[in-house]
Amino acid sequence: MEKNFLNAKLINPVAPIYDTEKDTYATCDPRYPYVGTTYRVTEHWQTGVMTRYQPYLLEMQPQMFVEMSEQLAKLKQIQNGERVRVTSARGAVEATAIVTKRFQPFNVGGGIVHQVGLPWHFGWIKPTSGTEDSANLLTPSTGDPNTRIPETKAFMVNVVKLA
Amino acid sequence: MAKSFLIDTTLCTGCRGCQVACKQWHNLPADPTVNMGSYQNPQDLSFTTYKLVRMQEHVTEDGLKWLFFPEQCRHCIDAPCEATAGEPTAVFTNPRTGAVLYTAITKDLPAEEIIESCPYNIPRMAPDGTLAKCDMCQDRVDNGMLPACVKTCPTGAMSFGEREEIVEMANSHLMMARKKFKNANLIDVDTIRVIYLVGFKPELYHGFAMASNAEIGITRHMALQRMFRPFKRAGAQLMRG
Ligand code: SF4
Ligand code: SF4
Repeated sequence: MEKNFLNAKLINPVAPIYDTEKDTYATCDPRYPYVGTTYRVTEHWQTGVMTRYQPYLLEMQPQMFVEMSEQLAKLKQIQNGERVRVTSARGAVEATAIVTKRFQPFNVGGGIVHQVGLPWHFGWIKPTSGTEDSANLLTPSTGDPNTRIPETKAFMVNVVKLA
Repeated sequence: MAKSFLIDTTLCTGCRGCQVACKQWHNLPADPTVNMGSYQNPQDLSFTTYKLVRMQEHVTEDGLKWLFFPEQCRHCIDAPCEATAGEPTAVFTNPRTGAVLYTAITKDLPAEEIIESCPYNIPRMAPDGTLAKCDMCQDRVDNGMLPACVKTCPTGAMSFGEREEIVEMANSHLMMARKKFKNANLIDVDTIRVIYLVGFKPELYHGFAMASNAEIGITRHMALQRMFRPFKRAGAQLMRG
């Protein structure tokens, strides 16, 4: 039985849950063993739809990346700078691995839990390579019960080296 | 009259506004880049990149630090690149500002030798042999404006002004920084016009952060000796401002 260490309920009972085929949720599923989170970088704004067209900004942050601890990289035999695929129950994106001491495994309920982090600024047209996509493909369609502000800060993923 | 910069890296957040401002003012193109497993990009200075915020992660005496080093030409007071070039129409020092300036005539000089003579590994060559680097925003400074990078910096990490004022400011910033970082120091303050304040050992930021730390070839070594020999002259110049 999955346990929430913070509350007797597993999830917020008033959080919106949708039921299309894309609304698949996985929590303690061995196919998606790592916690994923998304965030922004200084160089891009939101989906990057305005900033990815600015050559100077794309020069500084040219590609989708996923940050992970040295421990997880070792476990998955991923070298810094290698291309990887990040998958969730809902979708997949390619990214360049940034292996960093800024990420450290968590100790949750006596077990080691790894976390990876991705920006969500990338998408189509720019850069022109066609290989970069949005981390929003991974995140669940749920949100704050009152405002529906999307929940993109905690979800489950897997990460594997691109063959 | 001559000028200097203070770059207090303990205040730098790595926003890279300076890197963009430099390209924008000089109308330089973006270099093609890929993510190499770091936020730093481009990977190096180039003929079209005069300013680059270098990024390193190190476990220091104060724990894990993400160190930022906004690199540019130091505008050496007795510039080895200028001595090596030996051709004032190609490389010269502007007496009004102290800026070491390169012209299109660098194309006719031995580029490799000039590059090798720079203790900070700054000049970069175009395919046709022309050299380029930071020009201290000569056009702006001559018109009473701040260099583009300094003007843009939102945290106060970069300052620009009369040399005496900047040296004084560097010392007072150092006193403040020492309260937080016991190994804080100024880099090569007597011999260059771009004074870096670092919180940790210079080599943690970049191999060429400090002249004497650089892995140097023979030409660079001789240039260094030339540079450090006339200490008196540099000192006198400092007094003259
Ligand atoms: S830092 Fe290098 S390029 Fe700049 S003035 Fe000194 S020797 Fe010349
Ligand atoms: S002084 Fe001007 S040329 Fe030099 S790094 Fe700053 S913006 Fe670029």
